[in-house]
Amino acid sequence: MVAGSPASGPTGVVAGPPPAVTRARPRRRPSGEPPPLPRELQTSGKWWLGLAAAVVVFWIVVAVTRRTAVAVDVLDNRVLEWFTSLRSDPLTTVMKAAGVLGTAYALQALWYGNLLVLVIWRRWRHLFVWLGAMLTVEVIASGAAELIRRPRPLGVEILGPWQGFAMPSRPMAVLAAVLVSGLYSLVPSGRLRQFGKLAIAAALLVTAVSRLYLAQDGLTDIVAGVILGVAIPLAAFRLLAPNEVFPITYTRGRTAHLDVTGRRLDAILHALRDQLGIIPLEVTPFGLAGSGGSTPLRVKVKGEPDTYLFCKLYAATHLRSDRWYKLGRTLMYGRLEDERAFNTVRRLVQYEDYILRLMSSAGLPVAQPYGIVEITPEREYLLVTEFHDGAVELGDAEVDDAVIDQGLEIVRKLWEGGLAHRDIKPANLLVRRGRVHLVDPAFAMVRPSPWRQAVDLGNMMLVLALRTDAARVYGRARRLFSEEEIAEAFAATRGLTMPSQLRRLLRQQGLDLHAEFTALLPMKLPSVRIQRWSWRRVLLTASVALGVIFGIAIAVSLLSSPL
Amino acid sequence: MRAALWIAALVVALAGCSVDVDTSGMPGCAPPANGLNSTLVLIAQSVPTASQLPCVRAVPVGWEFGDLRAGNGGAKFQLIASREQSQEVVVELRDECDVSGATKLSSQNPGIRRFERITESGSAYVGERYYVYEGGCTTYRFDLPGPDGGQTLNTVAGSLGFVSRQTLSQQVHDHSDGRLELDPSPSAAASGGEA
Repeated sequence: MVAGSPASGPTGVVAGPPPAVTRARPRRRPSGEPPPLPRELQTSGKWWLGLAAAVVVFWIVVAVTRRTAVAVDVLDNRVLEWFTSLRSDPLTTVMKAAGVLGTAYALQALWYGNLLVLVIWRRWRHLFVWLGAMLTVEVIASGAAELIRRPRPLGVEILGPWQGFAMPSRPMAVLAAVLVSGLYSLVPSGRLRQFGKLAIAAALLVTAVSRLYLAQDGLTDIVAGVILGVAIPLAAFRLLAPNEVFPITYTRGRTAHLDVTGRRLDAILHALRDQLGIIPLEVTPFGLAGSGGSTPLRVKVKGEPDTYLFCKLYAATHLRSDRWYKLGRTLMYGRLEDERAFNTVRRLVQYEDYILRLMSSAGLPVAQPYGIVEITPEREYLLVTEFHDGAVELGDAEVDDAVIDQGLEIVRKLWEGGLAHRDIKPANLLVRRGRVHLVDPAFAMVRPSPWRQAVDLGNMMLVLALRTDAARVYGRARRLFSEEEIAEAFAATRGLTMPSQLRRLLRQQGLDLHAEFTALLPMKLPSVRIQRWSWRRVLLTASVALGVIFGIAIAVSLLSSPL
Repeated sequence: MRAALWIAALVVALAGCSVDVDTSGMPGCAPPANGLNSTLVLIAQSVPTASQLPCVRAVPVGWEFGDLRAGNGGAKFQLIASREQSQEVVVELRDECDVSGATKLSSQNPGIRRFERITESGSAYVGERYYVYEGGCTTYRFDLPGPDGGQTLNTVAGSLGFVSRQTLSQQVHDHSDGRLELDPSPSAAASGGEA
């Protein structure tokens, strides 16, 4: 079955024929079948979490029953008595050295080393998961110690340093957490990591034996500390930074882009076939340098002949980027940026798909949408569209009057459709065989303010004039827009209202096209004020400032000592 | 969900058992009704030689028990005036303290010598009071703004007291039905490695 039909506008802006893609019958995923790329804790992760839950139950039992608490104390005491029976001066010296990993200095060194590597390699996701896991372990260990209030081992001489209550052992919990977090944030998956697990087990065992010999902790304190210190980072990394999705690599790259190999690649291939009936042949990253909000992919698919589709992979990381971007703009501009951030990845991708279809029905030359593919429910989705094979960015294309007219007509159609693209820049205007295509409508808006619509016109004229000249573009624009509309566009478009790529190109070419256009206008309107202050913006700014101060305080506290 | 219900049921069931927790976290001079004051045990462990251990009889009205810090070598806790945050008395246990320049005062506790060093007594009552006994020393470090600082110190000092290590050892013994002791037996301590 062959799908796809030419998407042509009624006024001459023709999007060109979409590729002839072979479509198979989509397959519905039956209830109970896992999604293409499920989030997995894995068996060992479930075991460790189960053990952590058992530790919590154990704490409750110890805290509320005298008999159990005494029995545990006696058990610990007997174990420690056996260890103390082995004591001798030389062995004590050895054991003090063996316990070095559990000391504050060693933990701090491990802490700083891990932090430094993550910062140097800009592995922010791993860094935040690492910080979160460490903070959680520290808070739970300290909180539990204060609640349970178990004294240090009774009836034995304590030879090593200690601080505070004993259950759970905080040095063991923090050491286990530092080592496990380090393993999952620094060591690539595979044999090296497997070896690392054995090394961690050995390090924990040696430290535990040392602490038992020196009677710094009881056996149950150590076991509880280790379980807590392993289970929390393990679950955090497997759920929030799984290796399949965020692999450990030592090559620099944009952090917004997801790795599209291994399990994720398999999931994408299967999901395209099952959900859209498209038969993918090859998936390659495409145009990563120009995209920060998603991971763009070019997918070779079976067709007559084989052809390409364009996919944008959206994940929770992109959702967070979108939130931060919108928060930043709200702080910078105030109420002019009145859009809200998306709550879920599903809504983000649904919105872009909807906008594409809306623009398509408004006669705009946008890529034909093929649909949405679910990779991981609520976490990862793929937006599939037509691929403009052979198209070049308008900034690199030959621009004649026909191209100028098409660009201006795009803005006119946006206005008539009650839409604003909001990101008109050379990278988002592609030219293929003399036809202009509008791409990346992720920021587009339905029923925008007149200011936003005027900004679209201003940016379009600036982009078109980059490859021609202001007078020529102005002359063509007068055929579709009045002098007042153009004057309004240049009153609204200045500084930060221009996409950064456009500003950069203008700077590089040493052009002041804005001034040239303004000089051509018979009238000049006062500039539209960008800054808008409101109570919401003031409160938001104050909250963010407080949050930053709080975050710095926590970071400083964590950096000063992990214990 | 089912696991959560099981845990909840377990907690409810265990709540019916004899509760053995001193919830205040305060080293009370009197033992809790059904158990042992673990905070006081921790303080005792911080200075294994101390024959007396500082404790709180009752927190004076308008004061609060502050943060306890205990580790090998010493323990420290505070009493803080809840209304006037600048008023505080820090109680610190060490194995020894420097009482040079301090005035020796009479002590009501047998086996405990009392010293006091006042560094300011005008607009504020600032200084230290030392209780020296076998194997240890407890310092009350005070900074009490106001003209009646001396009186305030007496009120706070009256709410503090001492528990002998022997008494606490007996409590540990009784609490564990004779299976545990607070300190190692002298023979075990003598045969241990270097301390």
